[in-house]
Amino acid sequence: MAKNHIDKRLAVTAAVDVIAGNADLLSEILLRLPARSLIKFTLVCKLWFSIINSMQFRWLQIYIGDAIKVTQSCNGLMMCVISSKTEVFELKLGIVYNSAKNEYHKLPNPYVMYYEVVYGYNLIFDPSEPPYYKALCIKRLGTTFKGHFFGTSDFEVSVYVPGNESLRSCCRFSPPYGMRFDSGVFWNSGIHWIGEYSVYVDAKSEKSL
Amino acid sequence: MAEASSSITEKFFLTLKSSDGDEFVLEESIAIQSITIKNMVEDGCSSSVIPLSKVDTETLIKVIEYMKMHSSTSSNEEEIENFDKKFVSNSINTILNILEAANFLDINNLLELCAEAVANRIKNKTPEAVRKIFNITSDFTPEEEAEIRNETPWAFEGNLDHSLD
Repeated sequence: MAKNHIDKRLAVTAAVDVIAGNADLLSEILLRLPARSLIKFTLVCKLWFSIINSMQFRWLQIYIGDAIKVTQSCNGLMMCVISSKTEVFELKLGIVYNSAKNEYHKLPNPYVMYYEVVYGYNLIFDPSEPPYYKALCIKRLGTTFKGHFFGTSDFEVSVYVPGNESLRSCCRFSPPYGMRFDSGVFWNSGIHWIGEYSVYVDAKSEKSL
Repeated sequence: MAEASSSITEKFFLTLKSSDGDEFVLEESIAIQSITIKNMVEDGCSSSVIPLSKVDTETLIKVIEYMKMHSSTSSNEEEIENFDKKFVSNSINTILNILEAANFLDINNLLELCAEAVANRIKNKTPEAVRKIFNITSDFTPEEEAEIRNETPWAFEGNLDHSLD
């Protein structure tokens, strides 16, 4: 009986060891954890660290239906864009989702005039001090003439700081024709859009170059 | 305990033997929810006792309970739901044992249920508590640990759970 008891205890330890050392089985558990827990558990050991970090790419690939698209993700913060199309124009609103806290913040409505075209939203992520992020909205301005609207060549960048009630316009510029703004990259303290031509908005001075 | 003599070798019954040597007789239609057992049956191993050397008696009883509930035609959805809820309230060690058994026996539903349960149990815990539960010794240096903590300080803020279950 005593022997049986010891055997059982050995078996229990073994099961835990099998799971802790089996990357596939471990992934089954880790995949079901919120981002905050995952970031926390990179500290458990080097194996967990490497499994969790190799999983991060999945966060970039999340699409929630057709209407909401995750355009950027950084340490568990996701920039989501909700778009609704009408025959005349497309409305794009931004949401910043913190997957770790399961919280989201709707960005204020960026449209001043209905004929403005929002090209994209971007996150500026700074882990060193609260509120940890700012969001940029980039839109093309427009004008009306005899009841028709025309897009101008002027683009406006506005910034959202968490807690504020509205976007604050920070700079205007005229990008080269055909420039795309749907996949900006935050690098070296600025947002970069790279295509045939590159445009760069510095996060600190909020100027475009 | 539902010990059976190995003389029962009827066509539609299987005998499963745990790592502790206890034998359980189970209807074939229930047991083949395990793909591992199903493959054994298809390979003609069903006439003898099926040894499950990686599953102890305590765990096997739970797995059989689960398979009976999830195959029985009499149990309705609500019953199954209540059963699953109660099932995942077992201790985290028990669930980890069942998870490993489900992996070995290849019972996908059970594996998913257990993985979800473990994730729910550990999500608010400290890394230290998780190490203890999984019997892991950290292989980071204190400097490396400090660096990881400093990268995402917000992930380590707030009330974290230090308990081990």
